[in-house]
Amino acid sequence: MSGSAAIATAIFAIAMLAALGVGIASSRGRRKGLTEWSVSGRGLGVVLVWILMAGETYTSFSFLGAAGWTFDRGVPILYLVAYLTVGLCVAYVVAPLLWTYGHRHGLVSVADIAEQRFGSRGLGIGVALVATVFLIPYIQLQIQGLGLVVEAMTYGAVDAKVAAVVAFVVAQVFVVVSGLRGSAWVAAIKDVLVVAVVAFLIVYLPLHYVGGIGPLLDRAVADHAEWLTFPGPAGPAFGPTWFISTVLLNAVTIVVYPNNVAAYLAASGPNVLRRNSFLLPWYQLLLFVPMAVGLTALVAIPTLADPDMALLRLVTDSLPAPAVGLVGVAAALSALVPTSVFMLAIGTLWGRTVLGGGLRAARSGDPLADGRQLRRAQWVCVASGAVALGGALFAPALLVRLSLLSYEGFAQLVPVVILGLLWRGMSRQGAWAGLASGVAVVVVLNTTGHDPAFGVNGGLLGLAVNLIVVVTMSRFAPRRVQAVDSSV
Amino acid sequence: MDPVTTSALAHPRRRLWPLAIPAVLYCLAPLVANRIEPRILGIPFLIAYVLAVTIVSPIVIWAVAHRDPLYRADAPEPVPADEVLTGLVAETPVTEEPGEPGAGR
Repeated sequence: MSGSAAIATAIFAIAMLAALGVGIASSRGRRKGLTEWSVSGRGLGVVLVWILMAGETYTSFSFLGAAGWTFDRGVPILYLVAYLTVGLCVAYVVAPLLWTYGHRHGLVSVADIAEQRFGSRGLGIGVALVATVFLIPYIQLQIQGLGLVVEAMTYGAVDAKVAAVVAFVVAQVFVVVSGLRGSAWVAAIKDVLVVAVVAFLIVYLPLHYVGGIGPLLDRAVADHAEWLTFPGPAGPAFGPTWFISTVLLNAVTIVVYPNNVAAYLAASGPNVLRRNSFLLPWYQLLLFVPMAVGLTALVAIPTLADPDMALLRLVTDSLPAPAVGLVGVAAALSALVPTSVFMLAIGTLWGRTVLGGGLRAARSGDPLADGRQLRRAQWVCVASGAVALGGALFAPALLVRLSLLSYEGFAQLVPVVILGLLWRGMSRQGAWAGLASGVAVVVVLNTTGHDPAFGVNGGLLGLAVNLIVVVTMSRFAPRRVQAVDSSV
Repeated sequence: MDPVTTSALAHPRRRLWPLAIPAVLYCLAPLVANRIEPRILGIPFLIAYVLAVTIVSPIVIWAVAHRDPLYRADAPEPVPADEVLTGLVAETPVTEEPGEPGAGR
């Protein structure tokens, strides 16, 4: 191992130990129970909610993928900033709505919300299953990304697979012990690092490679003008229709992502969430940095083989080992925080709803029920992570295709989780049928290669069908539905 | 319940319409701002436009919040599905509606 590799490996090891220590320490003195574990006992204030949600939006995709996308496809990457900000406008209303409902009825997940609203644990289980299927590939993507980051930052001294296993163990330990609070505190370390790293990179990389941001933009305009307007070099598939439909779909979908719902339910009051809606968009400005880095790579090394490695390549080529180590740690923690919350969300869905008897068991007055649901949630948290890790190690390409479907699949939960709370007339059968048909549309469009269809994001088409089915079933078949109800 | 919250419930969140402004501005980006010139401080126009919208958006949300009676009262968000349950609004009887809330126990 060279000197540089040893330094970078040591920095990675210190970061993992720090994450472990802070994560475990964060839950000391807290009462143990499912509500504390899954939603921090509904006690997170403005700062921790902000940190947690910032941690979840600035994932390793934002870090590496945004640079890679810019290198590959140019300005269509702006959809990322656009939908995150529009999503916070949606969240201004939806987050306090879910908080109020969850707080009033003692709910901890999207499956709980569906079960409570429609009086059906079956529907809760359906929601939990759909969420699990679309979340696990996302976890795998994060773990794989983390492995690549660590391998690159240690100059190959730590193998990507070893790094993936180490990160998996660290995330599991702090999330199983401390739950959502652990993730929030690890996110705090991560945010400090990310802000520092990003502020440095935006100045240093363009300066080092092109002579500054001004010359960078001049050269981009002169040599790569195609990258700077829609639809960009990847062709008409990324035109205005794609941009608008993706921004709108993702903006309404991000508020039902189980990890975001966990953060909403964990808030100590509704104004914590309303404030977050105008505080978090400022963090989105940081996303312009990986885009500038991608542009730098385009100008400086246009022959780069793997665009997703654009940022790491520029960093390892131009910076000394300690700086490379810090950038790598920031990127690694950017994968670790969302991964831990995703696993926690799946654990909660299963521990309470699928395996734990649902709300009925939680409210049975049995003093052991809560502990039982918590233990099952923790087991499933470990198991879901293990499935994703297995995928990352042995079948890296298999689930990644599914992760492209993730947002489109999650969009189908919007009616059952949000519309149900806004529209009293929505029926259980409508919710079921809408969910099933929406997921079917998304899966069929994708497996037959018709997504985007007519330039429109397939998830939006699925959501449209979903809503039509929900409204039709709820409006025109309520009598028959009630008959079925009473016979159950 | 204080009058502010009651009136907000009577007109559920009508004053929140400016929250749509960021969405409209972003969606207009590829339609009205899809060009490189004029460059703003050297930044190609399209990127400068999106950057500007990203700076304006939290200010819009902040302005909406400060005119929002529920924000000023730190009040919970009204949940239409729960209104009958909590007795805030007495409208059609619950039994007419399929899939009423409060079940599952």
